[in-house]
Amino acid sequence: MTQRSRRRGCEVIGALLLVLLMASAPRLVTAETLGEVAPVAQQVIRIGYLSRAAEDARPALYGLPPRLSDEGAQGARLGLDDINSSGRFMGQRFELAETLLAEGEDAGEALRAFAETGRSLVVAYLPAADLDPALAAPEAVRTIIFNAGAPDDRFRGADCRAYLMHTIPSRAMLADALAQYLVRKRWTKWFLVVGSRPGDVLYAEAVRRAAGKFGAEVVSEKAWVGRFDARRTAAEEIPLFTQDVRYDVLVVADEGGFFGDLFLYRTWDPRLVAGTQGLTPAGWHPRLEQWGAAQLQSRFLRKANRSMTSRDYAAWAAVRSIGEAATRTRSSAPHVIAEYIQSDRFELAAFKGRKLSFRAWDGQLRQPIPVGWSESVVSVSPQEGFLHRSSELDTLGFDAPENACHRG
Amino acid sequence: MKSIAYILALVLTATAGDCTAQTVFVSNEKDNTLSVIDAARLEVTQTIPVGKRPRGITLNRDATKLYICASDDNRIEVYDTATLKKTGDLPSGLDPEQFFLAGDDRHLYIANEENNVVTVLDVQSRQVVAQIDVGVEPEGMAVSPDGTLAVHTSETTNMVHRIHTSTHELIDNTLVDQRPRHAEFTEDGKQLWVSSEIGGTVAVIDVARREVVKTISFAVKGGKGPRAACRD
Repeated sequence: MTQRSRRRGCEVIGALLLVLLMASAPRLVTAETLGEVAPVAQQVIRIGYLSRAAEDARPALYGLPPRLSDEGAQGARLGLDDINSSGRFMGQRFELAETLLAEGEDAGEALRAFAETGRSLVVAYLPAADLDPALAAPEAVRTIIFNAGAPDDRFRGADCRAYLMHTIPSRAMLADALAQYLVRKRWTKWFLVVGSRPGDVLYAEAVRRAAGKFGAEVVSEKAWVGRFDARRTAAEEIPLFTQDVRYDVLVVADEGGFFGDLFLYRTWDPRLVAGTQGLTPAGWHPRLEQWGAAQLQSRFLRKANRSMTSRDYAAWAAVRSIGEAATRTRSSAPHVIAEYIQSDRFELAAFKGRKLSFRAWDGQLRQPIPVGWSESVVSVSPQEGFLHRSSELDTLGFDAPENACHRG
Repeated sequence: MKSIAYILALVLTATAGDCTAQTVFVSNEKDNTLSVIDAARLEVTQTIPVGKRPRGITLNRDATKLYICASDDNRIEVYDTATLKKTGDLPSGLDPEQFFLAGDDRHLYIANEENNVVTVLDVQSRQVVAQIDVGVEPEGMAVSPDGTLAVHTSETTNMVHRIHTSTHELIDNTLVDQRPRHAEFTEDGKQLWVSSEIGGTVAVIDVARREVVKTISFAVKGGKGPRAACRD
């Protein structure tokens, strides 16, 4: 080494030292007076959002609002705004890539595309029929999936797996939330009316289970088989359909909204209607305002120009969970984020009055469930008096001892 | 939690030395009114209509002026505590929720919950001195006893942010538990106590070290946490 180059080396070291001193100098000063936010290397957390354009199979009916094309997505986008505004204080930036599956496109393919662009945190706003192929894709093993669309209990049971989390409540949770309220009111004799679509059958199953769990009784059950739109003849048909049954509440299972509405005000006896129509349990309610919910509602309204639905809320909660875990762990590594979300240290303030967390046994977000009708929140379950040894929120849905999930 | 009005109370000692003649002011968020309570008799003596969704409420040093955040009217209203008449409105920025009047009796630090900024207002000149971008849903505000540091909590970001009062720059952020609401400096200014409603904790922060030195947990039923003792 020549003398010149040696000197040069010393200069470089000197410059490095100076940089180090300068970098640490503000910290020394800050303790006393001013200073700056310690610069953090920018971390980028990439999130994928996967959804399917829902087909509008509802009956032809005047005045029906158009099917929302951005349901779920708007929730995810608001969640992204939230976590980015927190992230800038932590040197973290979150990106959301949205994929909308067109007809014939496979959810598994979309996961592969996400994997190729380094997105292994995916919010899936998909029905069960799309979640199945997504989970079957080879990429799914390395992807952390937040189910914000499928309420099917089997994804929390026999079809569960590691790194599959659910922010949308399961049907069992919804039915339990409704059951607790009805039992609290001592309306324990239920007349169950079940539609013919697969979701209706599963909803009815959850209602029967909830009745057994909380001491109510399904005193009668009838299938609604009409595939036609009975709106013109409902005033004649519904009284006949509901005659000769002694019950407190008619519980209807009609997830698609084809006939459930027809029962309101038309039953033979003056009775209330609950379930998928009438008094309805859901993950979110557009009239919820307690616990700061008013702020979330108005932020959503300003962003989306409409009110927040349960599905928007589920997508929002998924994105917020990712942000919360990234902030607390100060990490952008998907598996560090996923481990933290599933640990008992994770908690999420989500405008429902108590901290939310994920159930270790099936990956379900435990959460209070509003029970209400379109214009008003009637109550929020769990109801007082339904006790649980660890968390009252676990009185809703499948609890650890009864769970069939082996997440491996 | 039952559906109760959002209540903010303040106690005003009407005349010096007379401890019994105290007045309590309560802002009623859902009714758009201010309740005036005789503390000795514990009776409501007057109910005064104020702006929409009144939340934050505070007094100036000699308790002659009462400031109220009229959140949905996007302004601060000023009342004469002797006559209980409104003497004026102040610009506040969008949706003022809580605020803190600095020890100089002049600079009001306002948390604008809806658009995630803190507004600094000079109540004498009625000018907005600064608006500072902060975390999501700013709520609790406090200014250190020596006046050099303003802090506020952001409910959805779960942080306590520090603002230097002379430069109006955000200088540091401290993560605390879920949904931080109220922030309060100790009298010597060495500690800052912050309550987290959903976390169910109070974080005690060493102001000089910028660290949470102790977290006090509350065993709250169903996970409901502590709210501020008197301002919330």
